[in-house]
Amino acid sequence: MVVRIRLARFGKRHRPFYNIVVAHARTARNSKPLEVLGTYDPLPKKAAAAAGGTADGGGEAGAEGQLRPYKDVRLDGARARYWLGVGAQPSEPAWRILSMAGLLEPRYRVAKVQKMEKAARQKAADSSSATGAS
Amino acid sequence: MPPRIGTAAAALPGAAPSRAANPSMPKGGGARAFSRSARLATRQRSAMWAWINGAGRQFRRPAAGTTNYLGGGSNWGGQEEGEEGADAGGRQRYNKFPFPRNRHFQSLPVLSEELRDGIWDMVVNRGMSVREVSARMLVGVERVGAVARMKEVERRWEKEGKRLAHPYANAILSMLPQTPYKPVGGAHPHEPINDLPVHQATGTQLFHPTSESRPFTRADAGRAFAPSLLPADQRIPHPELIARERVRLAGGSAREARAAEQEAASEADKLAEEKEKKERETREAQTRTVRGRRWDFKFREVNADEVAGNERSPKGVGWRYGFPHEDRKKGQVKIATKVE
Repeated sequence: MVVRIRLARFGKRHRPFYNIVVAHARTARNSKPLEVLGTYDPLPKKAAAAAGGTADGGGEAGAEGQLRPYKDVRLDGARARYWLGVGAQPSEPAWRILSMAGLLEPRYRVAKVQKMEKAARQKAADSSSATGAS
Repeated sequence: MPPRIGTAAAALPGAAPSRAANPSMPKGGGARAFSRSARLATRQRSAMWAWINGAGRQFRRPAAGTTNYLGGGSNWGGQEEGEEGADAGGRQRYNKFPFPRNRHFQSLPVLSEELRDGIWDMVVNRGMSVREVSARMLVGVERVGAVARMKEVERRWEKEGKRLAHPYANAILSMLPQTPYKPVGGAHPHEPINDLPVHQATGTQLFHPTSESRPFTRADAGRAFAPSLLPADQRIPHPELIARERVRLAGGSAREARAAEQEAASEADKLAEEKEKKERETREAQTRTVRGRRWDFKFREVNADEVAGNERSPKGVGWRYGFPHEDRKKGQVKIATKVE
């Protein structure tokens, strides 16, 4: 049976919370998995501004000077790498999370976002070098 | 059987006063006007009326600014006059025992509204450190922090147009002893501010063999109890006051004492700042931020093996299996430990 890395929905009504789990593909979503690799909280948290830098897990100031909201992910990177190494197949949302953690090639939306980011950075660098030269 | 008419009043001379002499006794009783049976005036009941019309008269209408406890006295609260003591007028200035026979029940003073406003003003408007305000107002460090936070919440609510329960607060405060606000000339002590908190690790009895030839200091004692336990000198809330007293006892001038105090305070502040910075850095080192479109993703490294064993360890990763939620269970403390 195929071993998959996937999300198991816990939490409450309107308050989803996911365990990132390694489980056999045909078992029920919330059944006991082979291993829990981490958690994913899909509700964005407000970034709290603190006097001395960012607060506990608070977001960083973006380009606009605003604090960006953030989502919490906890992951055991070593165990995730092991399971990928022995052929566990991530589901699409799990792939998104693992690729952001740098364990997989970005696919789906992550790749698109990273491409856009890179282009924006390139553009900014070009414009700054142009102004510096002139 | 001999007739028993009119025996009660005669048996207790001076005790059960007649209705004409005692206007406070309940009126009415018209139905009993023709009754020829004796009044049921026990000794205790008559003593009660005697007290109500005599010594207890002063409690009927409490004067403003008094707690109206049975001992009398004003609602001024403070450490040095916390004990009962009669002044020239024969009234106690501050009585902390609302029930005179129960000496274990003490009504300790609370911070007055003016004092809380003063503390908030010092912390927020004048930018004094919490430790400094605590030392000056003689209020505990934690209490100063709590007052500053609560006042902020109060101001926010006022801005949002929420109604505050002022009548309730006033009614409660009028019945309790309070520590008044004295901005100049030394504050009224509210509580001991430099008490050493008893660390849980020091609660156990410990037999620790040491060599007589080597010094065994308080730092060593702390280490013997727990490896991470700091010595008492570093755990007290106000190390700067100790430094000041040391200089004063050694015969230093007031200026030298103040300089030592400021130096110790800045050192303590620096230590606290460094600790906080270190904690922040470790937190940031464990966290990796990946930028997304609308929000960031914060990855924190965890150890999946912590769930090992019976898989019910509270340190385990994620939502646990076969373990019911306890958030609706009785006795779960849900008080927020931080404000965002």
